Order: sequence, then structure tokens, then C-alpha cells
Amino acid sequence: MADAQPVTVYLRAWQAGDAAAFDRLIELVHTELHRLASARMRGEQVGHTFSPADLVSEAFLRLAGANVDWQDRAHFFAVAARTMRQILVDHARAKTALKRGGRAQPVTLDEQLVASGRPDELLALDDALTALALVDERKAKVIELRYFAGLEHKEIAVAMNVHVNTVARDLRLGEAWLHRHLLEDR
Amino acid sequence: MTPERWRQVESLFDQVADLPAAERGIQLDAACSDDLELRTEVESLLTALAGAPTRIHALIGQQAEDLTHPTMIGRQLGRYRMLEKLGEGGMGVVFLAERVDGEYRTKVAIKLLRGLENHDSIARFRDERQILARLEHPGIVRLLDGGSTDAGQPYLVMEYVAGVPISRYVAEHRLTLVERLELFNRAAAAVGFAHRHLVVHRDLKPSNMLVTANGAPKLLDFGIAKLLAAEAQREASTRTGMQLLTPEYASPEQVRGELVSTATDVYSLGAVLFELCTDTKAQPVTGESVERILRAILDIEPLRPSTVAPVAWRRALRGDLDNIILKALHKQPDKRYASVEQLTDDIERHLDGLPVKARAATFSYRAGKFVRRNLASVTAASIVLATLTSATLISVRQASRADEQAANAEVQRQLAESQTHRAREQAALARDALRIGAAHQAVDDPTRAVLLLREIESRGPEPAFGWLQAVPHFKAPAFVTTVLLGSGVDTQSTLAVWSPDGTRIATAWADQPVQVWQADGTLLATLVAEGRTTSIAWSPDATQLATATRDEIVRVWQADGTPVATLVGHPLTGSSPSLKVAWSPDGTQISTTAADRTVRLWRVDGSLIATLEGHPSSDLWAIWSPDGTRLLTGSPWDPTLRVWRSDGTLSNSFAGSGEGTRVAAWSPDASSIVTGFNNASARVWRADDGQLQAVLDGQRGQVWAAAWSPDGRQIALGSTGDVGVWRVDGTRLATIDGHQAAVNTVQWSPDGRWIATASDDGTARVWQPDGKQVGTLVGHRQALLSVAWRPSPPMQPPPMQLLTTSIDGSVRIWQPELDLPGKLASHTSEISTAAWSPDGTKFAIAFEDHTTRVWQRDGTPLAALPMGPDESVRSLAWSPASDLLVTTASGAHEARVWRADGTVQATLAGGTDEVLAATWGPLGTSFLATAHADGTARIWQPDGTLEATLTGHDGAVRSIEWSMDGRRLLTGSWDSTARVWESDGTPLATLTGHDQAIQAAAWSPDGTRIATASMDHSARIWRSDGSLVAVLAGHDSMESVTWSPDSSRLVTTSLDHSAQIWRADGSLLARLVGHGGEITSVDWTADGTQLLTATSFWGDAPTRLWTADGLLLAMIHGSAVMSAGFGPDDTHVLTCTSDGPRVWLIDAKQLLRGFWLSTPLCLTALERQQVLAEARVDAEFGELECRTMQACLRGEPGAAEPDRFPGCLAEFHARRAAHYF
Repeated sequence: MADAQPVTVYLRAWQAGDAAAFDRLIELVHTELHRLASARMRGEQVGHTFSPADLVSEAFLRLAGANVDWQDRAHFFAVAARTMRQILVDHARAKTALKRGGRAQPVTLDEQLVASGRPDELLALDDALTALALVDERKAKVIELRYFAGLEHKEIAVAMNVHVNTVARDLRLGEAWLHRHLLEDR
Repeated sequence: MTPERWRQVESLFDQVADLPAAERGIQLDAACSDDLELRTEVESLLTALAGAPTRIHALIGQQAEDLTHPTMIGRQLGRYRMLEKLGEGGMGVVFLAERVDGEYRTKVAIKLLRGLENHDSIARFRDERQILARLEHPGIVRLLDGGSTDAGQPYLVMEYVAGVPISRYVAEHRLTLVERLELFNRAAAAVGFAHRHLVVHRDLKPSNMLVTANGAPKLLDFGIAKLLAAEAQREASTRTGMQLLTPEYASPEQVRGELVSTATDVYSLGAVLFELCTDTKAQPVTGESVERILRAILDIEPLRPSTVAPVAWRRALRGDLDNIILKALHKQPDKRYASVEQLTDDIERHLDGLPVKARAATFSYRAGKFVRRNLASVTAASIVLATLTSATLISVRQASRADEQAANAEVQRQLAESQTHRAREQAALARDALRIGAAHQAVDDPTRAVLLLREIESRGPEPAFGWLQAVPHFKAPAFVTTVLLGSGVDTQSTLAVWSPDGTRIATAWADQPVQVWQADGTLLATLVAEGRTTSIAWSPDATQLATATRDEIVRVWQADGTPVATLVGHPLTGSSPSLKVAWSPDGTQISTTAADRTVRLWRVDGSLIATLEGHPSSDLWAIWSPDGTRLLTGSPWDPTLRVWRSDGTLSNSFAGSGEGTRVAAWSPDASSIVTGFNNASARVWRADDGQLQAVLDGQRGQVWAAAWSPDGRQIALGSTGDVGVWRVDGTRLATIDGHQAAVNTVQWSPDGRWIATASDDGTARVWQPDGKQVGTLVGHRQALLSVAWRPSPPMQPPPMQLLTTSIDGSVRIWQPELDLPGKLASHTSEISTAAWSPDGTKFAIAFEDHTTRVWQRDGTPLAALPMGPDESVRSLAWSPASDLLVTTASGAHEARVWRADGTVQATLAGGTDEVLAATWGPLGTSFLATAHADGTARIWQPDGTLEATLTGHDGAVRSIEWSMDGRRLLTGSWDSTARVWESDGTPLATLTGHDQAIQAAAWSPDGTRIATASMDHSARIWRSDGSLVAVLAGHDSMESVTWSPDSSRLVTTSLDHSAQIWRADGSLLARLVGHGGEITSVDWTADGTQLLTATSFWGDAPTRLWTADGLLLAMIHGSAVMSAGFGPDDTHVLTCTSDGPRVWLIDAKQLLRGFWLSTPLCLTALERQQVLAEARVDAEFGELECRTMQACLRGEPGAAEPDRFPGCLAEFHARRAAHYF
């Protein structure tokens, strides 16, 4: 686990207040997540898909290894969740740009082919999450950890250093808030 | 929002969100009092709470999926590079791709299929793909290729089509109802085509039925649903069962998981048609409840289209179209149209204003029973539908991993079951396809039939399954090959030309010399010359031939092969395949065209008249004007057309069009010329001065063929795309559409009634000039080179015979299967029974309107028998001398004897109940016998004198028959016994053993055997002393027994719609199946080589002709047949149908001959075992004799011998007799 070392080092440095370490960390995680996603894309198992949680867990195992203490782990996932979110948003943005700019496709084959992913809506979600963070940053973070890193309530509680019941409440209100935003947005 | 305010909101939200909804309001009221803003905020959040996690998960999940989705863009699969993703659906992902091997930059669509992940599936997928790849039809998106990715993911490469779903197309183009129906029919035709190739679509819906910008329907995804369904079925019990169904178009049987057949596609087409006609879905799916959706599919009858359609169309839909659509949408597959063709035919009939076959459904079956059965089977299959939207996919998940052990056992069971299922399905498919094939000419040809059977056989795990039912479904061809000549080796140089008097043909193929044959295939002469023949021309008087060979020598011969002259003069340019020869219509000159760019005119003695020069191309053609005064020359590579006088001087020349003239034809009066060009147009010119008279523009491809109608008023053009019939002024009269490839020959029949076309698609076809197809000549294996009508001998009606040549190296002569029937027009009531007189000169028919009439064979009425107003004739029988007729009537206690002029000779009265049958003694005797419902039988003189009363039966005597020697009498009774009596009425024997009523009893013609048929589902063979020989077990009540004339075979008919041929020892020889109803008549030809069966069931081909071995020879189409029989000379068949009697001229021997000649294939022993249910030893013998027969018929090429057929047939029968007896 030679490459497990830097991550824990950066994590600790970040905890100790080193902002540069945080940037390096983000860069590292971002690179790894991208690498994993691309590897999936090159894969041939059409029909197999990967949740963000799958990717983040794998990135964690690759970067940090299994023997990491819970605090480092929590912090790593906080970073990874943010990074994952950013990757997805970038991807969605690229897709919508492509659609707007691209030529109209002839309708072919199966009309009912499901358009894969809904990039516009993901961007709306991202906006809503940003807006939520302005009102209640913790709730936005909880959501991020839950949805972009796939953490369970207990894991979130550890990462955020709050009670698990708080996580449940935060999630509930945060979800309602986002959903309302999405519904209004339509 | 301030942080304080937010905390307020949060606190209230947390407090209220845990409460039951009913209590929230109270709590909110209490907490907010007059703070309306707070209340609104919290309430809106509470409302948004529902479904929030799912939604967010889905959004992120989808995006992540897209991110990590394997991308194929830019990657190469086989010969294709992926360009972009077109879409994604339940079946997989579709990409636009292009060929990279440089040959063409064709764009294709590639579908990567999901859900096929093990070797078995992929192997099966490969097999299926082979079949799909053969589906070549302009209306079907072609499967071009396929394979697997390196990772084993299978993919399909398809033609890329830009089109819109049919439902959208009709809306966007605002098609009228009629236009919609026509478009639908064209799309459906492609489905019919697939069915004939044993492919069922299974997932027809508007989005799979595209229409291109120019209005051509293109169907997608044939058979693909099956690839996936098979996989889903395999997986069903393990983890994920997946059913690909589109609820709006899925049939009840699909939902129930039952056999899918062509009827399934008929249903889906019905749903599409419903939608096209009404803009409403036939089975709308609400998306709310699985229950309701199932109910809609299984149980709820669709509304009558006319009640839901846009108001403007309701009137047009009411009646016929309602009935047509609802018939297609019938919940029970067997109540739907039996084929797509029947559906489209009915639509066409409706469009033509003809009565349709669909009738308003009777809804009695709708009562609970059917519904209950459906729901039960759904539950039994435990289909749990997890999600259901209007989209394609219903995903079914069941059985958790915890149940794995139990599931394993279940897997084994299901595997076994699925194999059976598959076999059954294949059998069903085969039957479907063949039934459809029967109605269609695609499998008319015995050769193709055998090949098709082999294909079916190769597909199934249980080969016998599909086969058994298959053979009898073949419809004999509308045109049969009567003579088959040729090398059988593919060659472009197959030539065959009718002699102008139509009596002979001259042929040449490969390196064979020119041969002259009679029209029946007898070789007359061989014209021995070196070199490959490139052209043959008959002299107008048919006494001489001119031939050209590759060595650039033209020879003139007497028709018997004696050389007359040699025309040498073209400078040798080496090997020239293009030397052509033509005889001038006045018989005095011969023209030749050669690669030296010259046309030469010769006298018949070989002296040169002139050399015509000027065309720059070496590829020339020259055509004589019908009056023989002029010669037209041109070239496909040279626009100039030249008209020459017969002395070789140029009359005029004119510029044709564009780059060159591919084809030209003189009008019959020699005043005009039509020329066809590469640019899809033709022009009509005045021959004298080259003035353009008309432009015929609008063929769908290069014009390759042109022909004037005999009256000179119309022109038929054949192109690479279609055939057009034009008026000389350039008005298009009709489009002939049907060939699948370029049409290279068109020819009008000598009487102008028909047009024959030959095509690269391997068929020739016959059409009416209005575009209606008359028949297809199917049998050549390769593209046709020519088709030609047999010229009519002077003063005789034109024989409808055609000569074809093909690059398959064969030459065939064809004729219509049957002469057109001569209908007896004078009487139209339904017929109860009919009988030929034994001398064959006349027949009698009893009609349901209580009249009985006697006719001469040619249809001239002879007499009308005055029957009572309530008298309904039950039976008719001619005396052996053909002078008297005995009739029995329903309810009548007496029989009557009539003279042929219609007067009554005697009334046979006796007994206390109805007379059930009356029969004459054999030839040379003059007595008759009656059978009575009171259990007695009686013997009479023709003058009415009672000779004897036969008592002893305990039940009605149903049948009575004399032995051939007239010395014994056989009775069959409903008391389950048959009895044998002396001719004086003394009882001889009682045949006991049947458990139920005897329906029929018959002596073998040699008098040694008796056969009985009983309601106990058996027939029995007895010796005349009453001892049992054999019990013939059937499947249903046996209704009749008919011995072959030589007593070697016995035909029984059964209520299960089948007939059986048995040997005299009781072994089964063949089952004759295929009739749609009970068989009412069986009759053998006098020579015992063929028999006919007829049914009163209304349907396809109620009368069928079979060989004595049960091979179907021919079918006679028409209405339900009450009675049918051979005339005594075996050449006429009388059928009595619901719309009147008809006499058909059938040369049964010709048919047999046609059958043997029109296929070079024999069924193998194994196939015979399976298809004909023959015992192995018989099957092996059968194969051997077929091969021997074929070899005999083919003979040695070039051997001049008289008509081989009779000799071969005699040998065939001799072998057969030696084998069996």
C-alpha cells in the first residue's frame, strides 16, 4: 500500500489546518474517481452500472487502504462526496452542452429508448444543494455524504460528529427541501 | 431566510413530520396561529417529503450510470466503427456506426444486446441470427451482420433507417383513413413475409414500425424479442425474470406465457391498426395497477373502433373495419385471422368495396369461464410485475437467493418444460408458416417445400415435431413446372427459345450443343457444333434455326439438326460472348451483331448483303420491325438509334437519350419504337422520322425491359425497381409491384390478357395488365434470364404456357396448375349430393332446394327430376348401365328409381321407417338394395319388385353394399355389427367387435375383405367370412371407408378432419391432414394412383388431390365442397360447392408428372419416416425409388429418346408393386 500513505498524510495535514493539503487531497481523489469511472466506461459489460457509492468505496480502498482509522475515513468520505458531486455535475454540464449544440438526431430505431440520465435535472439538484448549503450547511453536507458517497446514517454521524438521530432529521428535512426545489423548478 | 426563522421552520417540521397526516393540521394550527408564512413553508416541505429520497437517488444514480456506462463510441466492432449512441432501451444500447473496411462508407445501426451472458444463450443467439439474416424484404430493416464483443457481449448490425413510428407518421402527414389502411397493409405485408420465413416478431408496435421520409414502411427488431425472451425464461426461476412486453400491444397469450405464434403478431397488428384508425390505443395502459393492465389485456374487450375514433371517421369505420380490427384483436388466437395475409386481404376487400370475411363477433364466449381461466393461469405463472409504465419493459423480479435450493429443483423442471415448450412452439410455428405458405406462392414449389421442411427440421430439438403436420399443408403451385431441362450448373449462358409455332423449343446451356425439344420435353434433335452458343433464332416458319457461337460463327440448320449454311464474315475479335443472331420476320434475312461494332445482314444461304457500321460501341443490339422492312440498332453505351432498310441502307438515325439505350421494342404495327434508358425513363418515337412522341417517366429504376401489348395501345416497362404499364401517350396505367429484385424481361401474352415478368429475384410472375398478380413461377434457384409465352398455333386459343431460363442453368416450361373451372351457371342452390354416371357421360346433382338435375359432362342440362316440395335428397346412385338413378330422401320411407329423362320408373316402398341408403348391384346385374332405419334391408328389381327382406339387425341399417361379383351383400348397422348376406337374403356372417354404431361398411373390390368404420374411433378390416384381420385405431369417430380400386389400400375418414391411408394388412401408410373440416368425400382414380378428398369446411382449398402414398399433389380452391369425385376417365373432377357445381379438368397424371419433375429433391428416408410416418424399411425404399425416378426422368443428357415419363412411371409402379406385395 505504498500509495495509501499520501492520502492519510494529506488527511492529517488538512485536519491540522493545511489548506494546501486539502487541495492536493481533492486532486488525488478526483483523479482516482475519474480513473475508476473511465475504467468502467471502457468496460464491456453493458448493463452493469455503478453507483457513486461503489466508485467512492473503491477509490477509498485504492487510495487509503483498509487500515485507516475512523476519523481519517470519515474525512476522506467527506472529500470524496464533494468530489463525486463535482464530477457528476461536470459530466451533466458537458452532456447538456452537447445536446444543445449537437445536431438534431433523426428519430431512429426505438422511439421508446430511454434517454440515459437526465443531466438538466442533476444540475438543478446541484443548484438546490448549493442553495441549501446557504441556509443550512450541515444538512447539505449530510445529503452529500448520503447521496454522493453512499454513507449510511451511522457513518455520516461519525463523519459529521453528530448523533445519528440528528442525521436522520437532517436528511429528512434536507431531502424535502431539495425535492421542493426540484418540483418548483419544473 | 434568517437563521432564526430557519430554526423555527426546522423545529416545527421535525415536530410535525413524525405525526400521522390527519394530526398535522391541528399541530400546525396550534404552532403557527396567525403566522401564515411559517405554515406555508412547513406545509410545502411536508408535501415535498413524499418520494424525495427516491427522486434524488434516481437523479444521481442515473447520472452516475451514464458516467460509468461503457462507451463504445470510437471503438471498432468487427468491420464497424461506432460513431454515436442513438439510444438505449430494454434490449440494449443502439449505436450509429459505419463500415471501416473502406468498401463503402455505409452507415449502420448496431444494437448491443443486454442479458445474454452465457455460452448457451450466445450459441442460440447465433442460430437465431442466421435465420433473421435471411429476412430480406424491402419492408424489413435488414439484419446485416452480428457477432460478439471481445467480452462476449452479442451485437446485431442492422440497416440504418431514418424514419418515424407509423403512428407519428400518419399524424404528421395527416393521412386519410384510406391512406392509413394502405400504409398499414404495406407494413403488414412485411410481417407476412417474415411469417413465411418462420419468424414471428413478438413485439410489434408503432415504434417498431417505422415509415421513411418517402412513405415506405420499415419494420424493426424482427425476432429479437424472442432472443431475449428465451433468455428470460431460462433465468426466470433463478434470480431475475424479465418479460419483454409492451402492454399496449401484447396479446393475451403472451401475458399468460403461452405459445407465441403468428397469431400473436396478428393481434399486435390489430392493436396498431386500431390506433391508426382511431388515434386511440386499443388497450390503454394506465400505469397504475398491474391488475388492471392484465385485465385490460386478458379480459376487457376493446371498444368498437367506430365508437372511439375521431367523429369524421366513425361512419367509415362502422361495420367492416370494426369487424376487421376486432377480429384481429380477438382474445383467442384461433379466432383471429389465420394469417396476416387474411387480415390485409380483408382490408383490401373493404377498400375495394367487396364484402369482408370478418363478421361481427359473437360475444358468448366472454362469459366468466374464459376470464376465470385466464386469471387462474396468470396466478399460476406467478407473474409479479414490479414496475409497469407505458415503456417497453416489464421487469419481473422474483425468488430471492435464499430460496436457491428449492429453486434449483425448479430450474431442472422448468428447463425440461421449456424444452417441450420450445418444441411445441416450433411445431406451432412450422404449422403456421406452412399454413400461410399454403395461401401464398412462396412455398409453391416442391423443391422449396422440401428445403423449407429441412430448415424447420434443423431448428428444433425434436425434428419430428414440426414435420408431421407439415407436408399436407403445401398448396400446389399456381404454375407447375411440366418440363425441366438443363445442366443444373449455374451459368449465365442458358438459352431457350420457343419455335414461332409454339410446338418446340431450342435450348443451349453451358457448353452443350443446341438441342431441339418438343414442348413436353421430348428431345428431337441435337445441333452439333463446337463452342459455346451465344444466340439462337428460329426462322419465322419454324423449319430452320440460326445459331451463333462464341467462335463467331453463325450457322443455319434444319430443325432436325441438318446443317444448311455457315455465315462467316465478322472479323475474329477473339472470344466474343456478344455475337447475336436474329431472323427477319419475312424469313429472308438474318442479322448478326458482333463485338467488331458492326451489324451484318445475310441471306439465309450464307451470303452477305450488307455491313452496317456507325455505332462506336462493341455492345450492340439489333431488332427487326414486325413487318420485316427495317432494322433498329442501338447500344447501351451510345445514345444514337439507327433505323436501317433491309438492303442495309440507313433510313434515319436519331439521338435517343442520355448515355445509351438499354432496351427497345417496335410497336406491333411497326410505326413506333419504345426505348428504355438507364435513367429510369422510356421514350416513344415515331419510327419514320425519329420524332419523340411520348416520355414514360417515373419507373423506380433503370428500364431493363419494354414490351408493347399486342394491340399496340399499351407498353409494359420492367425496371430495376418495378414494372409499369403505360398508355402510349405516356399515361401510367398501373404499377406492378411484387418482384424483390430487378425485372429483366416483360412479355405480353399473345392474347394481351396477361403480362409475364422475369426477375433477378429468381421468380417469374404473371399479372393482369391492371397490376393484379395471377401467379408466381417459383422453382428456379437463381436469377431468371428470360420468360416467354408459348406462341399460339394459328387459329387456336393461346395455351397458357411459359418458358423460363435462369442462371441456375435450367430451363423450365410451366403451365397453370389447373384449367379454369367451367362453372355450371344455370343453378345456384346449395347441393346436398351428386354422382357421376359410371360411363362418365353425365352426372346428377341433388340440390337443397328440393330439385335434382342431370347434366351432361360438358354442362348441358339433361333432365330435372320432379321431387316433392319437402323432399330433400339424401343419396343418389346411378345404375351400372348409367341409365337409371335411385334416390333416397330424408324422412322418406321409400326410394325411387328414375330414368335419365326424369320420369319415375319405380317406387321402392317397404319398411316402417326412413330409407337410409340405396345401392345398385355391380355391372352386369340389374338389382338394387335399400337400407332402412327400422333395421331391415331389402333387395329389389329395378321395376320395383321386392326380391327379399333382410332382417336381423337390431338398429338402423346405415350402409349397404354389394360385393363386386354381385353375389353377396354387406350391411352396416347402428347395432354395432355388420352382416354379410347371400344375394337371396340368406345371412352368411355377422361381424361383431365394434363397440359403437357402424357408420360405413365396404367390400374390397376384389371381394376378399370388408372394412367397417365405427363411432368407437376405430375401423376394422375383416375377411368375408367375418373373421377379423386388423383394427385400425383412429382419434375420433370413423365416418367412412373407401377401398382403392386394386384393394391394396383403404382410406378412412374421421371426425377429427383427417383421413388415413392404410394398407390392406391394417398398417398405416399416411395421414392426410390439413383439411379444416370434416371430410365429406373420398374418391380414388380408376387406376388407383391418386385420390381426392373434399371437405364442406369453408376455407382454403377444400378439395385436395393426393398420391396413393398420401403425398399432396394439388389443391382445388373454392367454396365448401358437399361432394366431389373423379369422372370415370380420371381427367375430370366434379365438385359440388356451396356456390354451385363445377367441373374441373385435371390431368392427374400430368400433375403427378409435374410433381416429380418440378423438384430435383427427394425426401430422405429419415424425412419420410418423420413426415409421412412411414416405417423405416418403407422410408428407405421410398427414398430409393424417388431417386431412381429422378434419375430415370433426367436420363442421360443428349440421348434422344421418346418421352421418358411413361416408361419411368411404369418402372416406378413395378418397383413399388414388387416392394409391397
